[in-house]
Amino acid sequence: MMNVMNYFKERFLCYLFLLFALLFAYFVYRFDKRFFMTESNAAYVLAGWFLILTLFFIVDFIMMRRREEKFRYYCSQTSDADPEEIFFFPEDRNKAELVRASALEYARYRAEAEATAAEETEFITRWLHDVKVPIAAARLILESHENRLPGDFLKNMDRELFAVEESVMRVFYEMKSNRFSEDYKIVQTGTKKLIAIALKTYSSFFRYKQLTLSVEGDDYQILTDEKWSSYVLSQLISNAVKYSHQGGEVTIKTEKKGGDVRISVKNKGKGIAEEDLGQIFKKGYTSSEARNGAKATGYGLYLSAKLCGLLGHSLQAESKYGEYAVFHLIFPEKKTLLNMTKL
Amino acid sequence: MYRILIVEDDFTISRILEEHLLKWGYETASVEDFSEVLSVYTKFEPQLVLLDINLPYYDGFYWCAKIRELSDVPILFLSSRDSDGDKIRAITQGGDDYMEKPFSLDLLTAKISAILRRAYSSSDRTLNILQYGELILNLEKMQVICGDISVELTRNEGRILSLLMKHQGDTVSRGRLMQYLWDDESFVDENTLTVNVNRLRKKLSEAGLGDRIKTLKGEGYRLL
Repeated sequence: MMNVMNYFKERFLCYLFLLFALLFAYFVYRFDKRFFMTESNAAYVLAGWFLILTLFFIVDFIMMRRREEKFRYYCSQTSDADPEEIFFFPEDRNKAELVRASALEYARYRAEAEATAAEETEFITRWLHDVKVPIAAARLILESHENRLPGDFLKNMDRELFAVEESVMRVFYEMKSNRFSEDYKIVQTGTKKLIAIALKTYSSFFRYKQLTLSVEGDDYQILTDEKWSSYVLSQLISNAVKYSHQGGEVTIKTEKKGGDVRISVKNKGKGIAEEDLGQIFKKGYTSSEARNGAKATGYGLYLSAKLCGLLGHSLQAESKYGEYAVFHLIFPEKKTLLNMTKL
Repeated sequence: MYRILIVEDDFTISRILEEHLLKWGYETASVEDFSEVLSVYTKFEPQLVLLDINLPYYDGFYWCAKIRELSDVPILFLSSRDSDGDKIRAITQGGDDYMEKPFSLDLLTAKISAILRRAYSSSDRTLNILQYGELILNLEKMQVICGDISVELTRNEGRILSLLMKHQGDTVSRGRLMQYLWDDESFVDENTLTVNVNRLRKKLSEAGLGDRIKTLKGEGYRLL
């Protein structure tokens, strides 16, 4: 905004010139002995001069301010009105032309970027549906030939198919997480139900790895979106299964502490090295050592933490290297609602 | 014999569905020209329609509405679309149920028989009954009947027995049984399955059927 300070900064050359002109006139008057003026005349000239200067200052300041306001208004409007018709001063016109050109350029660029993004989103969404069809077909083929196939073949194919499905789901949830506010439904639900949904797809994996699963604790009521939080939970279970030794143990425990409900997924595997513990929720972070040759994308936990943040839940990790790793999914009593109302 | 119309544009899936349903005693027909679903429907007069949503020409919602103009035949949607919006739309536009791809054949057949039961059991009592040899299972009352003796089963025992019976003496793997038993409210681990199978065994002997469930180590179970 134009204030007096800025006005003088803008016009300092002009006022400096006036000051010099005044000084020059004064010295000429002083050194030229023949040049004489009565005192009252001198005062009169000086007063008149100051009056004119003040008048100039007021008019110039107001005009400059108006110009600036007009220019600002023009910039804030994204209309493509011709600057020739709006602005009187050539300088304003030129600047407005520049602003207009870059605004148009930006609008075009933005429309292009949005169109590309929308196209990509549509393409990926379609692809997600498309890829599910052959996966479904492959599953059906396996299922209908179950009794005629050697056990190992079935097991390995099931694993590979599942890996494909998991990574398809990851794309799906990542896409959705960017449009989270359009697709969530907070309901009251039981922790037991969430655990059951999340466990469902992993039944065969517990069998393959001969893991013992124990589910402890009561059924607590929580506020959450079932789809999203069961996905987070399934990621934790997936990790627990992945990083367990053959014949190991996975424990899912539900507790209530104060107002918070906590579901913990614990596995007795190699655990997480201390230097990794602070980093595991970062995008693309994979452990400093490859565990059991399992491929880590470094994306599952990042996405889980992101979703938890959106839901107002929290995700914590705890581990003793070489012994166990526990992930806690915490549903704070009030925070979820508070978070939701902000969306 | 119930007639089921399969409207699914993925050839592999529709072929497997046909084979599978045929094995389970249904008569099936598949649509080949997807601009003419309705005429296939009127010609075949199915008692149930399996309908995909993503189809060439028109989508599944369109055909559902078209079929609804003609009849109240149960329609089961099968689709890879997984948003709540699509599911709600499918149900509100006249669908009876919705299954998301990928799905398991066991669950699909369970849903099909449940839908048929709801729709036709008032006129057809045999829908509630599964039979294998002299062993009869009443699905509605969850009772095993053998001659004059009837034994009540729990939900899990009933489901295990129904899956074994539907496979008509073929081996059913433990994994498959577990997958079939797991649902939204409860989950089943190795021990629960073993316990349930043993209890079922005992109940079948009580019904005078002897030991009818054979354990195949490392593979699964089958009915004798």
